[in-house]
Amino acid sequence: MRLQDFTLLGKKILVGVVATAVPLVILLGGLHLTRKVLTRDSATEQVSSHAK
Amino acid sequence: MKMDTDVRQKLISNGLASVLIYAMPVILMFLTLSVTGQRPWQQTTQPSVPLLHFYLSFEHALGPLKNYGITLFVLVLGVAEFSLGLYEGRWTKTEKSIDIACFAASYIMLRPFFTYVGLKVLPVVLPGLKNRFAWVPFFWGVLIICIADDLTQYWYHRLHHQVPWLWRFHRTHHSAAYMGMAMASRQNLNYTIFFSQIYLSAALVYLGLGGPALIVLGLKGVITTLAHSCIPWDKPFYKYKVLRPAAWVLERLISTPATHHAHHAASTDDGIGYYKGNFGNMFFLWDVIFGTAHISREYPKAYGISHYQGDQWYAQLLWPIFKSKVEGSELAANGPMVK
Repeated sequence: MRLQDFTLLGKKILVGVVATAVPLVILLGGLHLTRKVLTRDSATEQVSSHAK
Repeated sequence: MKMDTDVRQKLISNGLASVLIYAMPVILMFLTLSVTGQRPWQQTTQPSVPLLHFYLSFEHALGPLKNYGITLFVLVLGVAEFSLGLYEGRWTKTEKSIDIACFAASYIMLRPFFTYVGLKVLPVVLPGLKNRFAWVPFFWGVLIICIADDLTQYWYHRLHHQVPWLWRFHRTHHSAAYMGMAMASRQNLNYTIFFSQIYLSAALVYLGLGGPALIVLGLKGVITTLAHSCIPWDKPFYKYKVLRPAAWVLERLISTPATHHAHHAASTDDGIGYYKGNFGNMFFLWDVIFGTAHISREYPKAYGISHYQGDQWYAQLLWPIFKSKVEGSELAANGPMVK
C-alpha cells in the first residue's frame, strides 16, 4: 500500500462517518425533542387544570 | 476523473431533501402523540407486539441456528439457483473464489466485528444512552429503522457509483457476468466494513429500537437477496393481467429482480440495462423520489462490466491493500480510477 491508498481509505472512512452521523443526529435530536416538548406540554396542562 | 456539475448539483439537492425524509417519521410520531395525548415513556411496560412474537418464535424454532436465519435462506436459494443451472457455465474458477471468499468473509470476520462494535464501542461513543428511546412505539420504531437504514444504504451505494474515486471500492459487486444470491455479499471488504447503515442501525438498537430492527433487517435481508437472485420471481406479476396493478406498486416500492438486474447490466444500449441508477436496496422508492429510477419489466442480456478481465480474487476482495495483476485494470497499481 502506498501513501495515496491510505489517503483514499481515510477519505472513504470520512464519507462513511458523515453518512452515519447525519441521520443519527437528526433522529437522536428528534426523539429527544419529542419527549421533551410533549412532557412539558403535559406538565403545563396539569398545572393549568389544577389552577382552575 | 471529475464529477459532472449536473451530478454534483443533484447530489446536493437530493441530500438536503433526505434530511427531511430522515426526520419525517419522528415528525409524524410527534404529531400523532400530540393529537392522541399518548405519552409512551410513562408506561411501565411496552405493549405486546404479535409480529415480534411471531418472528421470535420462528427464530426459536431454528434451534442452534437461530442467529443464522438469513444465512440459511441465502444458502438454500443458492442451492436452488445452482440446481436449476441458472449460472449457465459463467461461474468460472476465479468467480467462484471471489463469491466464496466474500460470502465467508462477511459471515466469519465481519459479523463478530459488528457485534463487538455494538457491545463495546457504542457504550463509549454514546455513554448513558443505552435504551434511552425504548419507549418509541413499535410501529414508529419500524418506520424509523426502515428509513434510517435503507435510505443510508441508498446514499452509500449511490455515492460509490457517482463519486469517481469511490467507484473502485464497489467494483467487485458489479464485476460478475451473472446474477445470483452470491451477489448480495460479493463486495470488496473495505466497502462492507465501512457500511454506514450497519453502524447507524447498531446505534439505534443500542438506543432501544432492537425489536423493530429485528423485523426490518430480516425483511431487508430477504428482499435484497431475492432482488439479486437469478430466479425471476417477479415475472408472473408482469405476465398476468390481474397481477399488473400489484406489479405497478411493487416495482416502485421495493427492489425486484427486473429493476435490480438492470442496475447490474453490462450495457445501457438495449434500453433495459441502467447501471447509472436503480441504487435502492430494500426500497426502490428512493430511486423514484430522487429521479434515479429506471423501471424495467425485462431482464438484461448481459451482466457485469464490459471491460472486466477477471482480476484476482484477493485484489477484488481487498483492493487497495492488494492490487490486480491485470494490466490496465481499475484495480491494478497504476490503473485508471474509472475506465
